[in-house]
Parts: sequence; C-alpha cells; structure tokens
Amino acid sequence: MTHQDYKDLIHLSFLQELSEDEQSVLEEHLRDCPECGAEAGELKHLHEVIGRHSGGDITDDLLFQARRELRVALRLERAKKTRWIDLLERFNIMSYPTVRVAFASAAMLVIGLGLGYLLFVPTTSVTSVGEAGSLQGADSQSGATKVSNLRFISQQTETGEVEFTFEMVTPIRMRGSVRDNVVQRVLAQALLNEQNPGARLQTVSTLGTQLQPAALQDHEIKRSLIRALKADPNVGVRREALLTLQKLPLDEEVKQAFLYVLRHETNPAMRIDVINSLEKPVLAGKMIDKDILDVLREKMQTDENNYVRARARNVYEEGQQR
Amino acid sequence: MSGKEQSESLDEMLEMDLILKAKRGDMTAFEQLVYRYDKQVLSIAARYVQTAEDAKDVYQEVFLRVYRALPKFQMKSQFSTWLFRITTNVCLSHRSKTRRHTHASLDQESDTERGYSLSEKLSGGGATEQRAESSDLALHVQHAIDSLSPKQKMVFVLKYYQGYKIREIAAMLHLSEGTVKRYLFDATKRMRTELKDTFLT
Repeated sequence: MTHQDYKDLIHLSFLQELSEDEQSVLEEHLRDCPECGAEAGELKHLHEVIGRHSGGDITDDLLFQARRELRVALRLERAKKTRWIDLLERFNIMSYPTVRVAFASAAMLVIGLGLGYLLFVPTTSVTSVGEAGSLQGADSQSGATKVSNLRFISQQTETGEVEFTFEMVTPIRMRGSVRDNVVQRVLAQALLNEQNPGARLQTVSTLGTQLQPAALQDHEIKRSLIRALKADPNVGVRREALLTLQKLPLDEEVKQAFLYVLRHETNPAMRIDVINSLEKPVLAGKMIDKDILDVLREKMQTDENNYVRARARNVYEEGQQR
Repeated sequence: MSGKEQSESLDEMLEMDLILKAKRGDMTAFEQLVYRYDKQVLSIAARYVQTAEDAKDVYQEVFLRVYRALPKFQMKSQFSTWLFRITTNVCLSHRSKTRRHTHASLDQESDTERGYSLSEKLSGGGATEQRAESSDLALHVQHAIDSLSPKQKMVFVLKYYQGYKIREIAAMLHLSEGTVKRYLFDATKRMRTELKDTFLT
C-alpha cells in the first residue's frame, strides 16, 4: 500500500468506517511512519475543531414551529385535492336532462370518432403466425412489446432462413371493478408471481379492503392468500395476507394455514396474531379443535419468545376447559 | 431471535402498517410517520441551509413531497432511505434558490450575519460573553462548510453531523460508496485549507 492509501485509511478511521483488521494494519503502519503520523495528528485536530462546532441540536421550539406550519400546508394540500373532487361532483349535479342529452351526444360523437380512427387507420403491428411457426410481418417497433430470451435453433446460410424461439411480453393496462371475476383472477395470479413486494402488498391490501368475505372465499383467491401467508419472502405481505384471511371463517383450509404459520413463522408478532385468531372460537364459547390444542401445547413449551409461550399457554388452558 | 431483533421487527411491522394506512389517505397515520423522522429531517436541513427559516422551508417541502408521492411509493427501498433521499434532493435544490437570493441581497446581509443567525438558532439562545469564542469558531467552521460544493456539503453534513455510515449515504444520494468517500476526502481537504490559518495552527 502507498502512503496515500494509508492516508485514506486515516480519514476513514476518524469517520469510524474501518474494520478491525484495517484498523490494526493502520495502527501498525503509524507506529513506524512519521509522515502518516503527522497526517493523523492534523486530522485529529481538524476533527476536534469540527466536533466543537457541532454545538446544540435543533431546538424544540423550531421543531414545533415547523410541525405547525406543516400541518397548515397539509390542510391546504388536502383542500386543493377536495376542490377538484367537489368540482367533479358539481359537474354531475349540474347535469340537468337537457345538459345530459348534450353531453351524451358529445360523448357519442367522441366514441364514433375513436372507433373510426381504430377501424380505418392502418395498424403497424401485424402478428400472423405461419404454419411453420415463423412470424410474418411482425413489426419490432409496435407498441411496448418486449422481445427477450431469443434462442437460435438453426440458420441456413444459402437460403437465409433462420429458426428461433423467443418470449414476447406485452404490458396490459386493465381497469375494472375489483368485484369483477377477471380482475380478481389477475390479482390472485399477480400475488403469486409478481416480483415486486410493494405490488404484492398492494394486491393483498386491495383484495382485503375491497372484497367481502364471501368473495374472498373464491378458491383461487383464498389459495393465493394462503400461499402468500405461508411462503411470501416479505413479512409485510405475509402480515397483510394474515389480516385478510382473519376475515374468513376458520374452516379447515384457513385453520391449517394458521397452524403452519404458528409452527414455522419466524416473526413473533405474526405468531401472536395467529394465536389471537385461534382464540376466537374459545371466546365465542365454542369447542377448540384438537389439532389447534396440539400445536398450542407445543408452542407453549418450545417457542423461543416468552410472550408467544405465555399466550399459547393462556389459550390452550382456556381451550381445555371447554 | 434476540430481544432487540424482536423489537426491531415489531417496529418494522408498525411502520409498514402506518405506511399502508397513510397510502390510503389516513392523515393520523401520516402524521405518526412524520413524527418518526421529522427531527432528523429538520436537523439535516438546519445543518445544510443558511437560516432557520430556510430549514423550516426545506422541512415542509420534504414532507409535502412525501405526502404527494406516498401513494406511488412501492416499498422497493426502506421508507427512511426514500425519505432522506427526498430530503437531500430538496436541500440540494434549495441551495440554488438561496444562492440566487443571496446574490440579490449581498449588500444588505454579510456572511457573518447569516452564519451567526444559524448558529444562534441551532444552540437556541442569544449571544453571551461566554459563547463569544465558540461562536467565532462556529462561524469559521460554518463558513468553511459553506465553501464546499453542494454534494460535498451534503455528504459532509450527513457523515459528520448526522453520523450516517458511508453505505447509507450512498443509498440516500444514489451514489457509489467510492464516490461518497471521494466527496468526503475532498471536503475534508477543503475544510483543512479553509480552517488552517485560524484554528489548525
């Protein structure tokens, strides 16, 4: 290492960014190098001077003033949004029969123009697939379609003929009610396959808040929620799936999913939530299932978390008294 | 799992809950999110800009941007990283406004007066005999910090006064760790030169 490298290490040492090994290498060098020793001395002095300047922190008064002003600004921001919503609502109220007829006519005209454009303006993306599997006339510029994973199978240099496979993905924008069966199916699939945890979280949250328990009973949606609860890598998604499934009756499928979580979930807060769900039949004065009692007994003895053990014991004992 | 890890995990879930509620328009949840981090945001702003008024402007702009963008926040990064990235962006753009303002009013307000008002606001009191010496030092250090380039200054403030790790700063500013180190080294070099005659001799 050069002297410059050691000088960089001295900087990083004062910033507490060195590993133990790097620190000992530096200290060893400083013992024998007067040049780097002088550099360390100067930097120490500089840090002392800067450190002395750090002075007091921001005052509570300044913080309260900032919060008060922010509250006012947020209120204005919300009012701005509400004004738009009011305007749209007024627009609806103002639609008297005559105005309504005028708007309907204008809307028909716009729809007619749109249809005319779609029917008579030639499209650029022709995707006719021939018998041999070759794509004729496909326009690589068309839409937002992405071609990926291109693999050549064969190519004839004499005739110029090539054969290959590829994946073609076209983004689709969908608008519809979450109560619509197709929308629900797409969301259920997204919950299982989407890479982005934020999107998965929003999917569960949408299903949970927008759908009635009866709609959540749909086999595919329920299966997706259970899979998310048991296997999603993101704890937020798992928790949202748990909250949604808690709205459903504790049937065999849901019960088994909850017991799985109680046994295997690493997050203690999730395990506690599940125990709370399993306690519901007890609180309603009903018999508690033997499977549930077995897992509760196991958890009250072996769970690493004190609170989980205590809650499991509590529910187990209440359940046994029924 | 240790007690500390458990409480961190619960805290993470609580924060996630607040974010989801705030995304759906729950203002109480949004305020709770603000109160989790607003002291740090104001502290960064106060270190970076010239006056307490500017610091409050930055604070307000940051949280208004967060409020507007929260429905689109996809949780690809930690909420705090996202928030502090917005904070640094607002600070960096705010500086240019201040500069324009400063150029326009240089005759009315000397550097010394501006620096003094900041240090006074930060330490929360008026000038006294005892504080005269430290105020003098504070003014020189503040002047030296103000001589840094905007990004050097941001990195310097985040490291020296907020105590973030280099990798955290890199995530906030969308820079590589190497670049952050370089900014820090250059900033320190500049500070040494600026303070050499007065305090480092």
